[in-house]
Amino acid sequence: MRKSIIVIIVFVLLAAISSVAYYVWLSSIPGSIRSGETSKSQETIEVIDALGRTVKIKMPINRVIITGKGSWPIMTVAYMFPNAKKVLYGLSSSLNSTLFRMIDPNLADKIVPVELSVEEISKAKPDVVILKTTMRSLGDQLEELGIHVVYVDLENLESYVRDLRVLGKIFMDERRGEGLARYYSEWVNSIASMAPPSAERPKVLFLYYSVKGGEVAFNVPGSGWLQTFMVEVAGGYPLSKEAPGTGWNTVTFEQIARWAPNIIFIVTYSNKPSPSEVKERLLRDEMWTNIPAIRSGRVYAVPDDCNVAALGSWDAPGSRWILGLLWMAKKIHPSIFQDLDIKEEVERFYTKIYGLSKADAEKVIAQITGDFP
Amino acid sequence: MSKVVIRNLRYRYPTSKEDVLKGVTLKIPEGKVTALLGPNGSGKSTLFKVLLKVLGPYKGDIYVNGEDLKHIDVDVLSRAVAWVPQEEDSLFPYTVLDYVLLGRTPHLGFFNMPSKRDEEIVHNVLAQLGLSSITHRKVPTLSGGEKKLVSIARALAQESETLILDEPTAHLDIGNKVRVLNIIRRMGDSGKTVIFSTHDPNEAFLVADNVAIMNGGEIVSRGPPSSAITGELLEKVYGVPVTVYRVNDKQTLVGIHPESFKSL
Amino acid sequence: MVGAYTGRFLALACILIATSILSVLFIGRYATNPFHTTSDEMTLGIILRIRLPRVLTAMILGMALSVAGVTMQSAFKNPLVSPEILGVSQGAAFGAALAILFLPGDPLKMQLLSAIFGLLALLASYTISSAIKYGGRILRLVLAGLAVSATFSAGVGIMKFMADPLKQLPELTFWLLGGLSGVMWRNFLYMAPLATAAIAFLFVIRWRINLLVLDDDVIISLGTDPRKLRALVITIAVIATAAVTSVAGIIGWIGLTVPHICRKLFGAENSRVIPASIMLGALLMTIFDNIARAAAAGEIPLGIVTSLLGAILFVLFLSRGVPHE
Repeated sequence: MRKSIIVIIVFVLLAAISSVAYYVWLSSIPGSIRSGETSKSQETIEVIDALGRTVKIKMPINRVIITGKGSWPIMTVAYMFPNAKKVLYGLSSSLNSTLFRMIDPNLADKIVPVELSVEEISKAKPDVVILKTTMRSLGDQLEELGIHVVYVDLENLESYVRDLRVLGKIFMDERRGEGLARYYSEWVNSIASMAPPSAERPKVLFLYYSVKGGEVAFNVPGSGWLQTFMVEVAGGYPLSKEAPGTGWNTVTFEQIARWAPNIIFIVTYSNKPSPSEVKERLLRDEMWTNIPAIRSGRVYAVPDDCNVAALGSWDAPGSRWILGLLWMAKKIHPSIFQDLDIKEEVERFYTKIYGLSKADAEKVIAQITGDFP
Repeated sequence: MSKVVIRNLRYRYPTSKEDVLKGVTLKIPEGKVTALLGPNGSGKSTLFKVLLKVLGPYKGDIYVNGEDLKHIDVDVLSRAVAWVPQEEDSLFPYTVLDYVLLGRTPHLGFFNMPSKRDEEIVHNVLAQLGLSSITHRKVPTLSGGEKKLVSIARALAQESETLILDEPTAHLDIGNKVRVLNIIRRMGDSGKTVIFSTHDPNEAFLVADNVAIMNGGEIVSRGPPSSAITGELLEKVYGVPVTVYRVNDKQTLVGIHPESFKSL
Repeated sequence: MVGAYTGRFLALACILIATSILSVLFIGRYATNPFHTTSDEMTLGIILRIRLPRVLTAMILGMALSVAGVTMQSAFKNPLVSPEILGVSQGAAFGAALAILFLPGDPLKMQLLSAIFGLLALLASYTISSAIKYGGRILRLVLAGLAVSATFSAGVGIMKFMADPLKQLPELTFWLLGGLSGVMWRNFLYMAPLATAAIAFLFVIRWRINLLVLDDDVIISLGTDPRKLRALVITIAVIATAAVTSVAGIIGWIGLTVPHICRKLFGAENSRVIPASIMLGALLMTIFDNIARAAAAGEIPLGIVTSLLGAILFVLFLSRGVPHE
């Protein structure tokens, strides 16, 4: 008798849970879950994000959270819009650096020490959350709660162009978004058009020198990556195109020797060692003396304007890769690009695009490490 | 009436080249106590395991209750025959009650749990064996003698007509030995068919109605103890000069005479 | 048979029900007041769409690992065995790694692949064990399980190596640490039927599982084929484990600790230990997941919370009670 009661209770419980689950799953709780107004007269903006979804966001947009893995490049791009300062929140602490503190004096208020969980994000009541395309599981949960999510990619020129326009809409400055998109694509086209045909291209090795647990590893970017693209546009032959795999490819010294690069660009994403220190090491290293790039001294440390992990490196998918491109072009083909004034372009970038004063821009430029200009 | 009929049973282990049971022929009478006597390695345990279908396949014939063992399912067999093994590991701290309750398995369907009746049967068995006071003790904490009695209790809980005990008195002190032999005799008296194996011919004289002496995988003597067990036979089987001493018409003792012992 | 323990069972059940209700209604970073669902719409959404599926998943996770632990311990005649013994966790990890690397962005396919590989690990263990010509049946299974576990573990290592350190590796590492951070109704619904069925099956035959603790010969004399029974319960236990591992990643210690505690509190016999483990597993995992999702602003991987607290609990319970042989 007691047994059957237990069985019945369990059954009823299961049935209840299943029906709740089913109901909740099926029902679409639209933006009405959020505060009150569902009046059709409300202004909305519509964007098509990096995953091809159409997202309608209600105006006004007072709070934007950028969080999750891989979010810091998004933040560097977001700050190219002056309105961003007013609405951003929930930012990663990896953004804390001289450059970004200058861009946004109130940066400290917006930084959070960890990646926020779903409930934390909803506590902050954002109007829209911007996530990298790999953060679907977080995004799906936020949308279940009626919070708008826009995905961006920012992994290559095409996505930069598209995502800049999307961000322009979100930060209430479509014209600027358009302008920035053109800025990137026009520079790329301009440099690419001046680059020589393949026969005259030097072999360029883009090297990420990493030290993990005392072990030195030489890594080269995958063939579809921004860094490989940059080298190609700048008129070099990117050796890393020949490496298999989609991630960072670890290569042996033998492979590098076989490649015999004419030019080497170095990044470390760290201060210990910094790219400049690595450059000195390689120039003095006996094993490397016969590499063409070492013999001709054409080894260059990629500039870094923040010196905080990978944030300021001019290669990584942060906003300044375009400056890295100009810099690379001049290093690879100094004669072709002799009229290109790197310092001037860089200054213009900080003042016009990030809105820094000339004095501040000078300060930033003064602390750029690497082989700048 | 024979409960078990074995004819020319041959069995060898899968990894060996020789038969362990070399043509065993034996009839186990119903409702009586049969002792299986023999030295270490003569095949007593193997015979039991073949009977219980733990080992197989075998050559020859075995009939239990008139049916060919080959056609009897272990499920059915477990309701007819219960087994007390020589040794058992007790790794989990089950209580005596829970442990003996496992003996009710042959009477329970796959998805069933023991009922009140099953518990009653177990309590009765425990009372019969004088184990009621340790019903809630944990098996690993029991003494050797108590563990053996619990093992027997579990077999009795199976409520089978036949009971097989493999060297039930091994490792027991004389007090426990006597208790176990007493149980064996009582089971025989109550109508069960009991088969037990032993090294000690005295036990056969004490409780067995029937004896079969096994040596080298064969039965070398069978019948009531007074006729089946002789000094010459024992000397042949065990290799030492053993005396069968008839004390009176109720008691026979087997041992080695001190003179014979000195002259070894 | 429940008899003397009825009080404890009831207490456990009440604590479980109360904890789960409180966890859904009140515990979380977002301060929810369930009586104010009309004044703050977010509350309803958080409770129904974020917390409820997650707490339910945590409960099933705890139940599955605990009952699988009890079952494996009986099947392997060893109270110190955990559900991972036949490599099911490493297999599931390998499946998840494959999905993260080659089918990115699809959490449901990841669940499927990870469950499939978890079961493949079981199949591999059984196949290899029949090829080993050393030791008894159980020892062979354990050895095979070790080999399968190591192989899949190496496979995961290779995946880690191949993974993009910026995009894929963090996701893989997080999965390996175990967690329920992205769980929504669809994850729950994909896992719950299978896991619940497996748990229910093991619950129903809880008394019969006791048999496996006896010597194989004795089991035969009691009318059951030990090999078939063992294979059956192990398979069901692995199904339960694979199903929940595919959602939650690798969560250790529960399968070992909960059965142990339940044996101490309820006696060793499975018809009490299994229901107790089911309830205690659900309770503990709910508490651990509450800590994982609400103790800090960011998510703490559940596997870490479980390992830490599970290990502490285990030692606590080992050091209590009368020392006995």
